[in-house]
Amino acid sequence: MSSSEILLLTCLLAPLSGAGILLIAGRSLPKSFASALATTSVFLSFIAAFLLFRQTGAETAAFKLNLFSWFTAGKLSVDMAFRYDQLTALFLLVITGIGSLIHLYSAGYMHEDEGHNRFFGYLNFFVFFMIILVTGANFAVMFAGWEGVGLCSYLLIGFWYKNSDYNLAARKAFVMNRIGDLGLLAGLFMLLNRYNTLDFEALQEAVKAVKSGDAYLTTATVCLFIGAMGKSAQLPLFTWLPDAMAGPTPVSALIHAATMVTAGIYLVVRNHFLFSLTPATLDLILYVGLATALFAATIGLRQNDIKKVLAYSTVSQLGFMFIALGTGAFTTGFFHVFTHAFFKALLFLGAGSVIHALHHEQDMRFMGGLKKKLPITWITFLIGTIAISGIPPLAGFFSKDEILAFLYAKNPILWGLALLGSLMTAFYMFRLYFLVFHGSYRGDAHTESHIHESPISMTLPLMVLAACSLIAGFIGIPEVFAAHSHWLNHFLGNLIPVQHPEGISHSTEITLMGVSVTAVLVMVAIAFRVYGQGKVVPVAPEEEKNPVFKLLAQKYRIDEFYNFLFVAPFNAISQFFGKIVDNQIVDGIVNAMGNLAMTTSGLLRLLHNGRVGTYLLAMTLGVILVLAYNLIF
Amino acid sequence: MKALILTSVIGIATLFAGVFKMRNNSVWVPLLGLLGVMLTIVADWNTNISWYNNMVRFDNYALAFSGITIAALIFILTISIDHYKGAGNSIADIYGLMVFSVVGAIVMSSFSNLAMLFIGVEILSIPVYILAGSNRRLTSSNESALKYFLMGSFASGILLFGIALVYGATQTLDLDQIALLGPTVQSPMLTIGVLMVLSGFLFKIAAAPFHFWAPDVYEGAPGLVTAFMATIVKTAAFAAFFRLFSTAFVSEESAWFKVLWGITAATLLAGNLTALFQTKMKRLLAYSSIAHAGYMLLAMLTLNKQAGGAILLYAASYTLATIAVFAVMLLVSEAQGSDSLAKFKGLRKNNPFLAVVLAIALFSMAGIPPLAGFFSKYYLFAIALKSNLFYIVIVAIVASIIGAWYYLKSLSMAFLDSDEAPEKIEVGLPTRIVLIACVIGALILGIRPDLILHLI
Repeated sequence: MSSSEILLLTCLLAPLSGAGILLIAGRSLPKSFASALATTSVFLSFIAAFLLFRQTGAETAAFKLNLFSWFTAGKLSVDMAFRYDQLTALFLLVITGIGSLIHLYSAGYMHEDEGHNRFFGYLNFFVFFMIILVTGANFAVMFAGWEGVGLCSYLLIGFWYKNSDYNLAARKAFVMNRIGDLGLLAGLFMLLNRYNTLDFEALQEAVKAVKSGDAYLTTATVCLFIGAMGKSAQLPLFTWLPDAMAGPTPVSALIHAATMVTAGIYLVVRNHFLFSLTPATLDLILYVGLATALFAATIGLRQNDIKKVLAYSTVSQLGFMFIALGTGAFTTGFFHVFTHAFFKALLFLGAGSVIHALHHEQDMRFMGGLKKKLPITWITFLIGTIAISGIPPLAGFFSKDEILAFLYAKNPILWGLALLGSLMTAFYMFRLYFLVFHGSYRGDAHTESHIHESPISMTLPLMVLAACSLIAGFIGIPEVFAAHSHWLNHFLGNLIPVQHPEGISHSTEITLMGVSVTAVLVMVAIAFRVYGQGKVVPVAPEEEKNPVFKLLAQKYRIDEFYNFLFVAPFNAISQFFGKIVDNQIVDGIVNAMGNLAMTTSGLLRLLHNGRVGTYLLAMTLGVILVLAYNLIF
Repeated sequence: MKALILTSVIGIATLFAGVFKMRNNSVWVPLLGLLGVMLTIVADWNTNISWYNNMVRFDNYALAFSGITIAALIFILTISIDHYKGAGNSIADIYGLMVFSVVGAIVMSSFSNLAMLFIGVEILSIPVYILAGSNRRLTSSNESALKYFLMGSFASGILLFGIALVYGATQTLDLDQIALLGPTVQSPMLTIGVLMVLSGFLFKIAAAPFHFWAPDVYEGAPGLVTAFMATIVKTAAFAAFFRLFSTAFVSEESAWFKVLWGITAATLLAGNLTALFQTKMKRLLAYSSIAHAGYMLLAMLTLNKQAGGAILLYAASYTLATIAVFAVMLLVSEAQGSDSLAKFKGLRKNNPFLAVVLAIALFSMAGIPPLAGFFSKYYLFAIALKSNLFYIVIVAIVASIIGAWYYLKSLSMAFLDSDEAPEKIEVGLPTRIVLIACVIGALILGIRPDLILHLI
């Protein structure tokens, strides 16, 4: 086994062993040991990932680690195999790097919780499955990771299981993801049916001869995309993600912002060779992404719960990533995953720090003026807000601008819509920022007297992530500023063909940047005028006068709509089958059979009356029957 | 042949142990002797010699079935060390009768002449009549002995009459000769003779409608004797039944196949259905043993080469489970004063070991994987399906579903919480060894049924 393979195994097994120990023996371990163990194991994974990354350049060939043959059935043979290439390298860095920071953060955030050790067990387990997902060398292994992260997400959303609303949220996330998984499985079986393999490399070889726009492949990729829609919370399967905020805030940061929800993007990027053969699917991805980006952004404008704003922002940003994929710019889509992971994790952790300081108050109507009391949280949160709004030179600017450029090349109208989405992003983020940190405190005096900055274990990750949000964009400096400056395109170039926005001159590109940056700054100014002084305070959705705002605050009543359209009929059918078909018909038949047996039994028992005479008679009749049987029948 | 002679000698020696007033120690004579017999069986394996002008033939079939009955007797004798503790001097007589009865079982497994068959049946049966009444002070024991004797003589008469008719038709008692001459004989005498022999056997294995004696006799006889009847007598009867009908009477198959089909179905249903309402463990086991005979009859219907192995496997797994259940039942009914199912309530609480043994044994009887009972049933069904016996297999499956109900009901008793849970029951070392051996056997035969399946 080569040293790279050992490193990859370490990367995989460190979080698994952490999870194993914590989930089996967690009850009897002290809290400090549990959090230290969990954090160390993920950090170990990070070190392994980093050492691997150090050995990897743009020209390095991918290597495969084949552990054992997983299962064989007929022509199909699936190996438990892992693959390490440039895309995996970057994903591993993000997962384990941000994962370690969030583990460290959780040590402070979850310190008082009674389920502390269980929490860290789940979290380690999640990291393990996420690594499986991005390292799997075939669809089957990837799917194992895909389902594993879904399971951990379910467990962690419902972590505070005593609250039945949280359990419902967990169930909702699980069911919605299953709908997507069905699509993914269908796509997987279609590929298997035609190419007899699930291995990514073999598939790439197999589709070389396929013509662009092949109908079978289009259907298969649409199915795969449905899977991605579920996992990455795209229209119409996005409603679970805002509800998933029921989980502890570090979970929202790690799973529902930085890593798991980007699995859908990973799926498409990993299979770019399939998707680039199916332009129709790419168009679908583009429009779904654009619709989601706009739809979620509008909802984000009028939310009062700090985590809900961030949740809708995540949905919207995921939409932006799919827009990039839809234009065929796979590297750009990944670029946004990369930058978004840092600033969104930062924003969530910052929000967590605020919530922690305010004793689990999440409603922004009862916040305000916190910048003096939480200085580190304030500064780092501001950096995150600037980064997500797309103001140069912070991370979000580079990736978002690249997406916009590709979109402009495709169609200026689409560009306009996406720009609108990004302006709304800037607006609701600064609204949030001003409501939380500026103005004066609006909560009760008792809580106010206890407000304190979070411990170092929580602020350190904030600072590291803020630093990353400042500089992460520089891995993709646009070529207009300097030739060969786009390191990411170069690094992934051998794996994913580099795309350039076609038909756009350098001057156009710079003009577009100017327009979007100016517009964003205008939005920030408007947000400052409305919310900056702390005079305008949002109201509860029920008290909202403006019908449009009310509709936004109520999230377009989409949950109610789904309940009406799907849940209610489904429950009715379920009631019918449960109460009528099962209780009456099935049970009726079963009970009738049982009664028949019992009745017969009762009758047969009467024959055994204990008299030898009866028995001899029966025997004699039996002999006669035996002798006469052939005559009678 | 060595097994047959040696066992007879052991029987006589056991009686002498009684004369010399060895009391409880007398058990060691048959116990050690029978272990020696097991060795001779191993030594004689694959020899296939016939003796005395082909009166008996010790082929592997004979040796395998003799082995099972002897092993069962060893188990029963081992349990009796605890069970008969402090019993009087007559204990050696009981052991002697059991050994003599097994001599009959060996003859029934090895005969190749109808005269030997009848002698074997009588050697097997007569000691059991006495054993059933061995608890002289109990009316129920006496009643059981008398009923068994009356019904048994009646059946012996029918069997003997059948043999006589077969002789009349073929002028020979030799199995090979009968098989050879059978197709040429036109006389209905042969057919009638075969059917009467069949009736005799159906009584011995307690198939419906010849099964009425079994519950009464099983219930009245002392517990260990019941275990003896349920295992050794039944196994020997099946060994003889299959040996005879798969060799000598094959040519008459058209005459007995359909009737046996009907009887198999009737036995399966009657045994399992009647068991549903039973409230006493011993009586329940009697009906259950009727039902198990029904499953083994399935193999009789196919009469192909593998059927012998399937019957052997079934007999072995059934014997293991039955002995375990009987041993537990004896202990509980001794402690509780009754073998009523209600007395098993809460057994798990103070006697987890007994409860687990009971569970495994009953699971095996009900045919739940991965225990021996499942695979032995599975092979019987598989062989029957291979012979296109589709409908009877459906009957058998329905019957085993019904059967699962009462096995699991008895079992759930043991695992229920109860205020009247039996106190801690002392389990002697010998019994403990037998119980563990039965459980391990049930597990091993469940995992590697081929150990026995392909023996013959």
